[in-house]
Amino acid sequence: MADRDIAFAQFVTAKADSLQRTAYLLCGDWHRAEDLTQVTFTKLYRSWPRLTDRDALDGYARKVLVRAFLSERRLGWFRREHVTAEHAESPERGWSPPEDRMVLLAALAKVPPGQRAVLVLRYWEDMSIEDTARALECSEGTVKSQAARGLQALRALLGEAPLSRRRGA
Amino acid sequence: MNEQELRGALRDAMAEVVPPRPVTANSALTRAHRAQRRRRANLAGIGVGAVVVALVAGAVTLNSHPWEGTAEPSPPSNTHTSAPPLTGGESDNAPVGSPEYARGKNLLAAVPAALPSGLVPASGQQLTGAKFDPRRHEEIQAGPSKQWIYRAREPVARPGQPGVGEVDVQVFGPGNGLPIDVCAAAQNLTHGAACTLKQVGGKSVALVSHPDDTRLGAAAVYRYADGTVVGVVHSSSVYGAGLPGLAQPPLTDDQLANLALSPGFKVV
Repeated sequence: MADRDIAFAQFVTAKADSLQRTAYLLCGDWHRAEDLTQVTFTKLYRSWPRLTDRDALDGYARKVLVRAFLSERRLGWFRREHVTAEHAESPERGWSPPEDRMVLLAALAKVPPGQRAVLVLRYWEDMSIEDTARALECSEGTVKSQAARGLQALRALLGEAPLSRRRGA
Repeated sequence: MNEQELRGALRDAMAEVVPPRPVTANSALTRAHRAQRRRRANLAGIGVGAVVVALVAGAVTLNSHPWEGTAEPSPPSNTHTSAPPLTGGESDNAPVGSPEYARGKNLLAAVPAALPSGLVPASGQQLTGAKFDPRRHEEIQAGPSKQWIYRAREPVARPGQPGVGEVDVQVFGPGNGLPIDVCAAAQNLTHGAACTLKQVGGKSVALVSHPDDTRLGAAAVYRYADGTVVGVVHSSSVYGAGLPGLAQPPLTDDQLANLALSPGFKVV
């Protein structure tokens, strides 16, 4: 195996799980999360010879991931998603959500994609405003406003009580 | 809810979550190599002169896979260039009571009646324990023209037999930008490798399968004269739902092609 492939495989092994989780929070569906993660790695592999600053690799991978997510959102492909931008029907046929965590994830998936990307990078990835702006290729002001709007949207979707209870407040 | 609460809640929510199929180094390398070969073949095909022009322009997007087709961001550097701002505010689903919502709901309602004999909507009992509600409709605004796309997903079963499969219908209204050639449209939508045309009552229906991706069943796509495109995908299980799947795919090719022609699916 070439040196490039060895280094790339090591990076994939180390980062696949966390990238896939971030992708899941972005898109709300494991199938699409897997695809987005694969696409991210494919793009990274293509750029690998130019990625000489290994310290910046994590941030770049997240940038590629979130850009892939936002680009994909604008296309009309068959998508294998299970979330919430959907209207569940036919409660008489007997289904109810089995877990409370689905409430938050479902609400997050209803937040507009751009705001959702900011929320995930800021509050899941713990990226700074500056790094989030760099990843999304937008201004820091846009990150702040999108974060505020995203939080507001989540509040509206969830209300205060469910999360407060979850956090033991 | 404040920022700290959201941080904690996200971690609580994700603590129990395990990716059903984690990406491995081997699969990532295989796909990367395949993409590289495809890219090289495409570059060779368009000629050296065009390559030089395109590379100088910095806008080479030659991959055929839609999700791989967008240019990747520039690798990290010391300089940060400005880029288009986030668009935000995209509408994912239509408000309850809106015409688009009604179309999505009508599409879902049309699926059970269109199913061939021997296939029925899964019962509540069969859906017990699902990780999400597999029966749903969705309205998506996508593309530069903000076209509405309507989608209905119906979990299906065979009477007296275990397992739940899925029938997934998507409808794209006129002006959707999909290729006019129905096979090209079908491959565009499904990433399918192989397409065959099936004649049903004088109408051409594209049947595609995706041999590299066992999660996707076969798909049938029909294009109406006004440009409306109806696509139907079927799967022997509902991906990620945690339910037992059917022993066989829900539909035959003939049944799948017939389903794509269901008049009830033309909601636009």
